[in-house]
Amino acid sequence: MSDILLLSPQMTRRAVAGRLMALAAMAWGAGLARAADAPADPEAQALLAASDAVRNPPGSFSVQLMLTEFRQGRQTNRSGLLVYARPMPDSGQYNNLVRFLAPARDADKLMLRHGNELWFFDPATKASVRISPQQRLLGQASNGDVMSTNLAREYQARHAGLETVRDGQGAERRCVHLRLVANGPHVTYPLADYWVDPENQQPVMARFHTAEGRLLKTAYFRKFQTVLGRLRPTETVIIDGLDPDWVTLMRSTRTTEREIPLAWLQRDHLARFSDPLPEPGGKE
Amino acid sequence: MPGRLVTPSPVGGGLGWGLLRHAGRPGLLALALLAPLAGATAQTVDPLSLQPTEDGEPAPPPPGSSSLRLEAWAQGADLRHPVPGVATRQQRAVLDFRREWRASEAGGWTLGASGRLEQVQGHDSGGQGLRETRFALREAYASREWAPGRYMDMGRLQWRNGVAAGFNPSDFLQRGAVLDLGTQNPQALRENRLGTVMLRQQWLGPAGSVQLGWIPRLSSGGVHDNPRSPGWERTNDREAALLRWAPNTGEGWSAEGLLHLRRGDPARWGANLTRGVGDAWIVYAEWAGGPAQAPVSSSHWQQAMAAGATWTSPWRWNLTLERHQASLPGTSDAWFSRLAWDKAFGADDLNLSGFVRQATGDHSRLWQVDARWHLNDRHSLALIWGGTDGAAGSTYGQLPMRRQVLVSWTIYVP
Repeated sequence: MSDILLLSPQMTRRAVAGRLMALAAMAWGAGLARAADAPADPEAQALLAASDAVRNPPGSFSVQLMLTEFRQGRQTNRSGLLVYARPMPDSGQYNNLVRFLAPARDADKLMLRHGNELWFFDPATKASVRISPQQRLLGQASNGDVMSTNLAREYQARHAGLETVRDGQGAERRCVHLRLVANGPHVTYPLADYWVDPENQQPVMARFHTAEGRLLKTAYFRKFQTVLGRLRPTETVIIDGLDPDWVTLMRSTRTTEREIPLAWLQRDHLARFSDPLPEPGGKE
Repeated sequence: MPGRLVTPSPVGGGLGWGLLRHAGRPGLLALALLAPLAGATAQTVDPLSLQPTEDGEPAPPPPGSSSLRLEAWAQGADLRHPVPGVATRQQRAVLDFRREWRASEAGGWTLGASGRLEQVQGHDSGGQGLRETRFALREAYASREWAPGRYMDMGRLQWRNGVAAGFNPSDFLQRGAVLDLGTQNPQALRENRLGTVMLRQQWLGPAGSVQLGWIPRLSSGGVHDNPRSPGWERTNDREAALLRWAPNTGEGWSAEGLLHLRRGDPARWGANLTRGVGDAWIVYAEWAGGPAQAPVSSSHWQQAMAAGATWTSPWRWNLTLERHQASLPGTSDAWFSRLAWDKAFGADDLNLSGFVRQATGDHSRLWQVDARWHLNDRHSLALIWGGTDGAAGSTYGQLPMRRQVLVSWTIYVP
């Protein structure tokens, strides 16, 4: 055993405090490691996958997002995006192409997620630049927030209890609390708490954390409407973990089932991207 | 934990009354003085009750893309020594446009054009007035997908290469094409340059992409004085060919290789590599090299390299650090660093960035700081301050410009 674990009466208070802090850090790290290594709870994982199926339509689709940012209750920013999502046959995770619609200074810029790679394309420079998942192009909302994601592919879920939570419209709902641990460093949020209504598998609320457990943001899924044959959330309220006065409202419209060509999801196609059917004939 | 109620945190509020209870009389006075400053945050706002002030959303865009912006610039420079024709005070009015028309059916033609029209006036250090109208046709092209994954482009095209931020030795078509903007920001210089007239083919498939361009000679060389000429002599003074191969390397690494052949010059090879490390780092390297040009020695190898990393911090700023090494004519070894901070100091509309390039041999420096305010969706105001430092005769100390300040106002026309 390392001598860091040994405490003796001769030690100064400062030394004891230092070793206790080191012990706490090791325990926390060991806890995280256990969570990451522990086999997934199959029931929790199935519930998470079912909740993914509520958030995301099956197959390839496009969806228009309007992001509105608020500071201290005052609206400060609006961005419009068009997201094209296509699940990868091998992993089931989505590849995404995001087209910026508004404001005018950002119009026609593109962001591509291909597997774990992120690329940003500016039509003014005709150049693709690789960016990290942490690099934000959208204000408070992270790149991962606007892209379609199957959480069950990115996290190991464990059942953490049954709880009553207040949902995004102020109603109390009985939910299953899931603890999520990311499968790898490429995932935007290392840890998450996720509340799902077991009656209908609807996601209700999420809290995303750093690897150290610090709250990054809270998300509420609300305004469930029938979209492509199923009740799905059409609005997400994102509250910053550090500054709760910073709120983003993400509203989705025009969710459309459609074929997304494989070529669109390649970096070398970004300069050639054009959506020939902005009002597609697919199912809405 | 059955029965536990999980609720959203209130926004603002709560803190003020708690402080008042514990502050005492001096604290009350201090809080009273600070009250006007804290007023904006003292009210409680339920984050779940927030609604946009307008419900409209952008219409789905038509095929193609476009951008039109108007810019007004004012700039002043402090020169080390008077240079006839180099302005110390200058104003510019700019119309910058880019438009791409795409056929709605697959396999149809795409037509594109972009350019920059400038009205410039000012005076040099000798008081000599300068006034001219400049027009730069950056792009004018036609493209077509003639078979699935097979593309043909012809016309004046922008074809940039290179993954580094401050120095792109593999950007073979950059030489001579950069427009004079005042700013030294590498990103702005990347955007504003003349395209090269060429015929280009691209093959794009699951294995990756291959592009081959043939560049005809359109001018006998020698830069023309006419600021409204197309500038063929800057981009097409010699026949050339450029080949780029970008294999699909799977997740993790991305790689590409280049070969540039130019009549009268030895072949130049290029390579670019990038890799994501964790969720906050991108590391990259860019290299170009080839046999030295006569009369040095045909067996001597000349090369240039930029290698660096970009780190995204949890506080929303991006730090880039690069090392540049070069044995090509007109280049020098240097360190380059750039810091970009979007929504600086928590202000939604403020972007700050700055870079410094320092020559390792003589420690002379080129630097610039940019502050950009997005006043609203359509108007931006920018303040740019830059300069060079170094001993007389050093890499940057020999440049005429010692300091410069630029102010610009941009209107984005939807």
